[in-house]
Amino acid sequence: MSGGAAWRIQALAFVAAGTAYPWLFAGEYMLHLGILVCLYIILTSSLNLIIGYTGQFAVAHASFYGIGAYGAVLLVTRLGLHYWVAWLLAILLAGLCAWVIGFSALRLKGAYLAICTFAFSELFRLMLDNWTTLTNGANGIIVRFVPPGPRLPGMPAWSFDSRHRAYYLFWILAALVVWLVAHVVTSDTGRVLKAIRQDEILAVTMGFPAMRYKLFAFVAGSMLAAMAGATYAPYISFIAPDLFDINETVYIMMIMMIGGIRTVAGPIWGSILLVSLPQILGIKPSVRMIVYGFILIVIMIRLPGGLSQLAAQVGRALSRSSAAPGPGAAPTSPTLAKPDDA
Amino acid sequence: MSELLFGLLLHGLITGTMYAAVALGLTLTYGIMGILNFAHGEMLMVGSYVAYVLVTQYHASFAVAALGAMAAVAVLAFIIERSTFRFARSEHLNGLVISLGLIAILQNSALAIWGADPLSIPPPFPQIIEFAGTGIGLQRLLAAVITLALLAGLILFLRLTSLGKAIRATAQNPAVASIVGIRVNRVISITFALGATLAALMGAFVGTIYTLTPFMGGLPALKAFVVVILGGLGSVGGAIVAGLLLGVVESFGGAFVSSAFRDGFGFAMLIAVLLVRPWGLFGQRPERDEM
Repeated sequence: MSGGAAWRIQALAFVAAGTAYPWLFAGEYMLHLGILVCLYIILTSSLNLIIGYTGQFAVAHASFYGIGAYGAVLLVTRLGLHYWVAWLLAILLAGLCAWVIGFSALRLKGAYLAICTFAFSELFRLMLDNWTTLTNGANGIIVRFVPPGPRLPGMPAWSFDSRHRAYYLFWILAALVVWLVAHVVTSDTGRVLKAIRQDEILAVTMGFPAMRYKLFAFVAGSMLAAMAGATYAPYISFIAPDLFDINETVYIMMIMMIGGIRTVAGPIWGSILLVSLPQILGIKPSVRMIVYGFILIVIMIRLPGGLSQLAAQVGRALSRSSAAPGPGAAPTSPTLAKPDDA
Repeated sequence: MSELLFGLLLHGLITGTMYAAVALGLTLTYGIMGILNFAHGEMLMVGSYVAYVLVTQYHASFAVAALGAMAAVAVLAFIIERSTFRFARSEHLNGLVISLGLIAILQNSALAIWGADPLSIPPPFPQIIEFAGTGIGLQRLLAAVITLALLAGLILFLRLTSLGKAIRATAQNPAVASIVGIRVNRVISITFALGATLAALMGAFVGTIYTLTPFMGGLPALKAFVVVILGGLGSVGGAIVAGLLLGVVESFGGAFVSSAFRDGFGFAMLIAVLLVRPWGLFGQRPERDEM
């Protein structure tokens, strides 16, 4: 995972595949799938920063995704702001909310943090359901605008009105988010975040203000989720409270855990496989959630590293059988709270 | 005016017994295996649907249906504990994630079997009675009385019987409990099933008063979270007192502040308590590291 040529080749392969995707798979439906995959890459990578790397088990991710979506739409329709200004303000608003919530809630640990953020998530949904003059309640809002494109000199005004353009918008954002998260977690800051997950008291003892670092991860991750929401709302052209409730958080978490928590590639593989497969195979959403529930439980019990761990184990087994047997570095099963990084 | 206040208090207490009963299972489970079971509300939901099937399709009396729901959920809980939570005892957050997976499985299974349309169990006692100047559904009153009796019985069971003592010993220290000959695994299975059974009975009651949907477990589970935090996570007495308190606060808040925000009072209280006194209104301040 850390540096190296293999890592760079994988990154290049992802970039090439993502860029070539619209040519490889033509058709509106396949483009829509690609957009969904990019959306979930953003959502899972940002949650991975909070839960995976920093170990803060907060379950309000879908709420920040919702703040981004509702924030951007309401700022455009109610205040008449330019879409990209609203987009930026919605992300900043989510960051502010995350800061206020995180400032108080991140003092809690484990199950307490989970309950507190769960309560916040429910309060947010109650607000969306009941503040009908602002949010139109459970009926949701139909979004009737498309993001305008940047004004280029010597070119007519354009907007992200086709699926092709929308795909590239999502694809660029997803690539940026993955790069950003990968950059953060391999930086000095990332090392402190991992140290906090493994032993917060030790990190504090060594002079790192744990609270400030936890807050950074929480606010940054939440803002990225809000960015996903602010971009997705005009594309999907309809938002409603139940798109941003606790079940959405659980779905994001499933993709992250099954793909591989605490890896950069895990959320990408998880999003590609878990978002597109059921759509291609025509599986009903309820059946999909049952299957993912079972997979999640099996993974938590037998394979806490998710598919990434499985791939690594298979890769090791293959190279062991072809090359000389290396030192038996069978990883002990990693967990949410214990150290596991190689 | 005093009759109105009394009516609100009574309704609050009646709702509160239900909160207390659901929260009790959650707090027992947390106390004994350290796992916060987010799928506790789904035990209530499954119990409700089993009672519904027994009443509407097999024409069982409500009492038989309620007992059947409790038995079915006890078996389900036993299977769940043996096949999932047992493997997450050393890593509690893994247990929490597992319970989120269980929610997805149970909710969507119920959705596939019974659909999303609200159903209801015909109440055996639909009449409204006059009680100290306030009208109240007999069904709700009886449910509350039965629940209170069960809660009292459960406290006596935990205090007096050897199994109850084994449960408390295991909650305090599983290692020492096993040294003195307590079969820790079996005690944990029984405790988990006991909590789920209580939730299943509440499910049967809820089904006669409100409606059944695959998502009906969410709100009671949330209320139970509020209650166990207010009462102190792991504390049995705290859960009962906090359950009644939450029922009364909601009843008065719904009448005097805002009825649309009725379900929000608990969460607001929860967030406030977590920030000021995270170990709960009645809980003991734990070691710094656990919080």
